[in-house]
Amino acid sequence: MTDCAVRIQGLSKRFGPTLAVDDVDLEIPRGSIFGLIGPNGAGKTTTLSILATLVRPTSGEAEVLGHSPIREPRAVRRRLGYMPDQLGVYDDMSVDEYLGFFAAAHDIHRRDRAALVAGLLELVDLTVKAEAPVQSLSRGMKQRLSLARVLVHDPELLLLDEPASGLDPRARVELRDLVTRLQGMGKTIIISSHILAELEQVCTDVAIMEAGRLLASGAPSEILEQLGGGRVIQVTFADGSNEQFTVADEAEQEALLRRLVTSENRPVVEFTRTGGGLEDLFLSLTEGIVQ
Amino acid sequence: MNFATNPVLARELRVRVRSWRAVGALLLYLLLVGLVAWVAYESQRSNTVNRFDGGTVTATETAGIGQSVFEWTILLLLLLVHFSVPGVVSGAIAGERERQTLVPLQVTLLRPISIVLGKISAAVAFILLLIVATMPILAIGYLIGGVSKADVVRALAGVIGTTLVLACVSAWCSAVTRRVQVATVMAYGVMILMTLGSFALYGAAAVLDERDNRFDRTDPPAALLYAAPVVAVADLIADEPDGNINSPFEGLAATSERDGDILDTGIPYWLESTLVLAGISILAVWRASRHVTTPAETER
Repeated sequence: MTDCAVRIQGLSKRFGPTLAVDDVDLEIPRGSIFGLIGPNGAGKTTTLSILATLVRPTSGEAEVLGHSPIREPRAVRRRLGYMPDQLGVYDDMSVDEYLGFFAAAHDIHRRDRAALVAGLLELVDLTVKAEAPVQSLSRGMKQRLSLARVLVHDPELLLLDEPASGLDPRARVELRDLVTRLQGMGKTIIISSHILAELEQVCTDVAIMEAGRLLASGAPSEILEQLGGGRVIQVTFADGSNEQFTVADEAEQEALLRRLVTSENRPVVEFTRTGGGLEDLFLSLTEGIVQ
Repeated sequence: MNFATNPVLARELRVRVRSWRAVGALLLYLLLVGLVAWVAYESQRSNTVNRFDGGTVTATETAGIGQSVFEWTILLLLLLVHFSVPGVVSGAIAGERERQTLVPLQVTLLRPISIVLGKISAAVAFILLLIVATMPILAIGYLIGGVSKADVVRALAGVIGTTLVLACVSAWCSAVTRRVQVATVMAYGVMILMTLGSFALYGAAAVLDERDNRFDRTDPPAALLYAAPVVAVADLIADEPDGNINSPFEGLAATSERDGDILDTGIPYWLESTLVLAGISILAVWRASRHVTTPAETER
């Protein structure tokens, strides 16, 4: 068994004159929460659509859990859950009917469906809404319902396209917690998003795309290191003085604080990261090119 | 996946049947059918008994009344099918696209053909419900006389066949377009082309024939009407013209009888037409499922 959930080699997709994905090579480790970052038109949705067996690439190869999404789409669909950026829910059904319908569409036996639906509703915290019409749900609830939908066949890999778009802060936090729980259940999760702060808190790895090209990929700290950058920490001491430090990652950040307080015995009143995060990384790599 | 357990079909039926719109449509339809049957009955009865013989009605005349009620009810069913099926089915796939629910379906284990057939069979199932609801009215014709069990079976087969053909063609219209409105206009356009278009072609051929008399015959080939399901149904129902002026199908059936002998196969007209329509339907379903199949060259 390979350690990669997804392997992409020389992947390109052209829509008429537009090159939506341009010769992308990417490996996504199993069990990771992988953030696909990029502005509109970067090629994120097209890349996810190719992996989700929806779109045929112009050239290159993709492998999802050891299967080709082009030659073995059904094998991929059995093990993959895809949540598109548009909610696309049937407003004329109740919540449990909706999940039951998708369970049936995934060949799950009728006798197993009720228990499965109940379990999924509990997971996404919608049990009280089981019999409510889908149209009565808030956007955040619909988003969680969509997430439950992609879990009906217990896939190993989840592709979530802009899952946090349009959600209020509470719904975003709930979604983030849910994603972390799903990773804890052994699933590999690929999330595309514009909201970098959200990704930063959950992603173990990221890829940055712009104008169809892959600019960088790996753990955020590794990319920062490659770029020669890091997290900029602003420290205010008890005597009123300020100092700036640059660290590579979370671990170095903790080590710095420990050193200042214990080894150097300098009372710290404020310890704030002012830069060097995913947002700075994104801004330093991209040029704002829109296709 | 078993056809009977097709989740698309189950979903469509559940959602459609539980809405008040379906109940309202059924009620309205039954009132309309009842009215048409009553008008047909009264009209035929007054033609039959208002004579100088003291109002005596022979068995043949009674049979004429039964036949008239039956045929007008079937005609109404056929009209309903022509006007409702394109409207109902045209939203099937295009509606999924518009609601953005097609992609979640495409990444399940449902095969494209299951999605298309699920939608078509749901529409056919609704028409079957209307047919079942019409049975008591059709039974009036049967009970009065002049209509055999075979007539009923043939007529209903014709209506169901027409439903299937129009549903398949409308499903294709729905699959090739992105907007329900466009799909609906297209589906009605194709339906009109198949029916009125066929008659227009037949009429034009008749005019040319009469003018030139090139092939030394008075009628154009009935094969020009193969794409119009109503002519095949008329041929199936009124297969023995008896000069009943109140029969809505006799004129149409006579048209199919006057074949120009281009295709003198010895096969009944309705069967030839059915084979052509079956071919059109299979082609439409195949093309519709191709338009739903992924991975595709473009996002669908």
